[in-house]
Amino acid sequence: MPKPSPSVPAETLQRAKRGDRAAHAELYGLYSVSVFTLARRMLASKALAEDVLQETFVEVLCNIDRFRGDSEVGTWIKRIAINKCLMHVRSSWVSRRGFAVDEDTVGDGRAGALDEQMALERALDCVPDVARAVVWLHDVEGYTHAEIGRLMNRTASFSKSQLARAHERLRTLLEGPEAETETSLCTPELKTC
Amino acid sequence: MHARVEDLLKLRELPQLEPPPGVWERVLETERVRAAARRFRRRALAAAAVVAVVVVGVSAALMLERPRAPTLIVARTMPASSTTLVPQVSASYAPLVAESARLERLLAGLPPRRVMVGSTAGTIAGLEDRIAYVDAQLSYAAARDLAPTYREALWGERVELMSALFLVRFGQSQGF
Repeated sequence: MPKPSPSVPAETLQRAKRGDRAAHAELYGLYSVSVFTLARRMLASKALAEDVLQETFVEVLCNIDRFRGDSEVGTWIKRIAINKCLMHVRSSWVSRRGFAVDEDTVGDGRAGALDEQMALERALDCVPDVARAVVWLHDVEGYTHAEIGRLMNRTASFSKSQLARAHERLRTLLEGPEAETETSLCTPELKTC
Repeated sequence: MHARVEDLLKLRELPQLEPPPGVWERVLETERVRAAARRFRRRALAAAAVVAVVVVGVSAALMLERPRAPTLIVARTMPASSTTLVPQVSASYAPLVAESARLERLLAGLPPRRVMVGSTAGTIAGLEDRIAYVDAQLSYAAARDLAPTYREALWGERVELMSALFLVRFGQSQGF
């Protein structure tokens, strides 16, 4: 299960709505890690994740006074972050980005030298952008296919097919033939989706 | 073809990632800049709304005050200097004469001029000079009994200038 979002004391939320900078900083302290992690996993780019984190909290600060409490603050913030991520996923720049996988998630090229988490993280980075976003939203954040379809302005079937392709790709990357080397894991033709 | 469930579930066990330092400071700076931009837009919109209300109000006032019997109003309200320009109002441009008189009455009803910015004062002075020039031409036309079409054109121009002068003076009296 995903790590549950920390809850915000009602008093902190009220202060944040009144524009209290200290309360804003508390919100950032509570949610910046989960937002950055979400963005980094969905976008496979530290720089883009940093942008998403910044834009998300700018939007939070601009709109916190209008937050009505229909959901948890953490859910609201995460939804903003997901929308920002999907904007990046949809952008042509990300589509053309190719394989700018961050160095911090790439191992030394020898599968045996990577622990399971690093291998999984690296494999996830090699999944096409849209499919990776679908995997994260479905398998980790718990969104349904219908919800993902709506978020992406597509259908539930689109989400299902993307997830199936991503699972297949992940399985190949994690369990595939040893002949699949570092280079062949991330080839441009496999990056398209 | 499906990946092993246990492999996929490990996605949830991936470690949380600490954001780099300095992002919060950038958030605050960006928010400050955008808030300032929002405030500017709000003020600009408010100013535009006030101007629109004034223009609509003035237009409505002009419409409501439009006389039903222009020739009678001319006789009653035209200043002496203007009525002498047209001893006998021709039917073709009588409504223009009446409109000019009505605008003069409206102008006379405005509060006295206050200190104003140079550009407004310049605009008002320019309009008044042009009106005086048209009046001089009207006097000449009356003295020489020139064609009604010529006088009609002059009265039309006078009405336009008076309307512009009234709008500027009204706006200035409201503090714009």
